[in-house]
Amino acid sequence: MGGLRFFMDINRPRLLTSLSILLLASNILTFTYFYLDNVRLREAIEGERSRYGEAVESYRRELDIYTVLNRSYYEALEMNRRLEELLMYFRGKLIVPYNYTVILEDEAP
Amino acid sequence: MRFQMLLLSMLALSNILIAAYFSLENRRLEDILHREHSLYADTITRYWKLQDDNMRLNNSYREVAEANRRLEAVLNYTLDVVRSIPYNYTLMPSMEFMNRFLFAYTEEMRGFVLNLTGGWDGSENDFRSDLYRIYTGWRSIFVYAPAPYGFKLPLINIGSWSYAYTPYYHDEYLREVSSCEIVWVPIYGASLSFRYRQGGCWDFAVVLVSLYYAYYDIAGRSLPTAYISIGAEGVEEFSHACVLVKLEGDMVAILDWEPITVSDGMLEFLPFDLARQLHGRYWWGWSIFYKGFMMGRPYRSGFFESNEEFYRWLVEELN
Repeated sequence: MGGLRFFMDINRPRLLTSLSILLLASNILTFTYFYLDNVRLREAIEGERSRYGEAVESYRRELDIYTVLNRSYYEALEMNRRLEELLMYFRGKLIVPYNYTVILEDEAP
Repeated sequence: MRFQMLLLSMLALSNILIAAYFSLENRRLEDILHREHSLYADTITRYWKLQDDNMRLNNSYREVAEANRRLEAVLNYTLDVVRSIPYNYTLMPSMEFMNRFLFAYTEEMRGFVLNLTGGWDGSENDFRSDLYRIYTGWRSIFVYAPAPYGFKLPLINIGSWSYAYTPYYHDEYLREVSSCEIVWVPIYGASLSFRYRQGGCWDFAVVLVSLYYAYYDIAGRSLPTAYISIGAEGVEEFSHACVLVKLEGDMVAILDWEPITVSDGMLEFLPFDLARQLHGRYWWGWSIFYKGFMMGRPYRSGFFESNEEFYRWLVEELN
């Protein structure tokens, strides 16, 4: 105890000043560190929001393309069915003279 | 001294407060950043998937559009062919044409029948003798010889239908018909066989049925009349055609190269079993069975698995 009292007695003003300076420096460092991290995070959030906005925009553009393509696809498919129907109609059909009995009579050898 | 202690305390407290405030604030910002990143990641994933879908949908569309171009070319070719036909025409499935044409008679055939019979006087005997006269008239001018079958009609033959599934929606579509051609097919029918006046048993029987139909139209009375194909048990190579006329029940008249059931210049209607026996006797005692039939108005045809089935058809369905 005697030694500590001696130290405090002898160096008290200097110690307190040193501690104050240390704490002040620590305050500044802590603030700076956290502030910089805070700024970094805010910028990262802004960057992410910007990327998200671009992604949404791209998605919308792609969705528009999808809508157009989808419509074209179904139109082509419908056209395919109509063509199939028409070809089915002609398939295996005889081209018969309108009044075939008479024409066959006329043209038969 | 006290002031210094107070300053120290404030600095320490401020240090703690700064650390605590920024820790909380930065954690909040990190949460926001994480949320924003999740939103972005989710959106960009959906975008990539949609991009991939669009690529596959585009491929599907191109495949169907390409198939349509090929099919249009085939259709245009078909239409060009049809447009180039120099006479008025109708398109008809070959089976439907046969159904309409096979037993159709011409004015010439009608005149032939009228000339042979002089029409019907309304009596049963005249009706039966007219049927016999028609048979003898046709038999007297018919020559058993290969028929020329010179007349042909164009048939649109579209073949090799190939289907596929689209890559995206897996819808089935017609990808290709790889052949389209006009084939000239021979035409058979009573009017042609009558004009040639020659052929085989098929020609003879088909024309006789047709002449009977012409007579029925002139007389205004008709009897169920059919072309019948026959075989003989134990004689595998034997296949022949004849004509059967039904009066009622199972009373029938059968006309082969010779009339099987005739008496006094008239068709005679006999019970089927007896007529069949006489028919077998005509064919050197073979056991005749009746394989199938064709008849018009409307056109019908069919095959029989057994004599019992034929008999059931004769009694119940031949009208």
